[in-house]
Amino acid sequence: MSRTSERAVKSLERLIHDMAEKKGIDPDKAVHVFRLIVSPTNSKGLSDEDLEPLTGYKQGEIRKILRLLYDLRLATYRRGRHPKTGSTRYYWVVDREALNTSIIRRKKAVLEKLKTRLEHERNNSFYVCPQDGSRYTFDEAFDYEFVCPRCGFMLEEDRSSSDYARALEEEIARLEEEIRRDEKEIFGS
Amino acid sequence: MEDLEKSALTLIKNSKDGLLQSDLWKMLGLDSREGSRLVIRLAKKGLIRREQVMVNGRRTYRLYLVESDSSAKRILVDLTSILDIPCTTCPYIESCGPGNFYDPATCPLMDSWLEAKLENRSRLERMSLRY
Repeated sequence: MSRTSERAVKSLERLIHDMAEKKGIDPDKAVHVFRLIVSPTNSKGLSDEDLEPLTGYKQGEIRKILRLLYDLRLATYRRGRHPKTGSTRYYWVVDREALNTSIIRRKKAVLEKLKTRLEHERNNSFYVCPQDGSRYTFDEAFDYEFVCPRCGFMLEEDRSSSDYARALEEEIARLEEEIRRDEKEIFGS
Repeated sequence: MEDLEKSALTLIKNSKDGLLQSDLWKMLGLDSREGSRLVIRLAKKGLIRREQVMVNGRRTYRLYLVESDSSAKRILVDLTSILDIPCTTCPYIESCGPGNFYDPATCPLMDSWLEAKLENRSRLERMSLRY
């Protein structure tokens, strides 16, 4: 039980790491901030100002990371007042229950993309360039008069498109099964 | 926490296969209404877990203590299996769709992911043929 949880946390940190990287945020810092917020000792929430001395990162960086976590629905905030100055502060926490549903939602979003792609693979026949391997639908290939627009080679019919569809089908089936299992675990049967 | 809640928790803790709600309130000297309110309060705090059971044709709950690292608060959903799919970490996943600028049908990241997947598989097939 705790081992699956450990795996889940690790995979989640990798997601944050990779997403941060793509958004131009230092990935290790993002994971560090996430760990601080998700820690069970943080029950009242941490503001960006609290996080600054804890991490040594700039407030701007921290806010970017928090924004990323918020966009992924991994962290949320509570609006509060600074105990001394009375100015508005945002105290960041991770709602663990919401976190699980967020991850399931992400999985569903990915699943939907795969399904869209599968539809495309099924509804079209494809042509490939033997030289650079670029792939065109029949309509595109027709427009190019079956000549690769990049290297001028004659396009050939792609025989691997059924392989693509099969790979996608397998992936979709696996993911659907996984989401069902996750939902059962989170929401009960 | 109230004393009543504490003693209820100890009773549940000491019963191995869970405690029936109907037994709990009798042991505590409450009536069924007070007992069910108490149990709901504990369940809302995430301290116990209830499972509906039938006993002598009446519906009641079997109560279990939830370990301090409660399962409801665990991060349970594992992402490992989808981390290699490019969509998972794609910043444009929200604006991606058929006919849009970002489209799963024409996405080069998805192309290369699928290609790598097929290649991997044919390599595996070749290997299994060899042995």
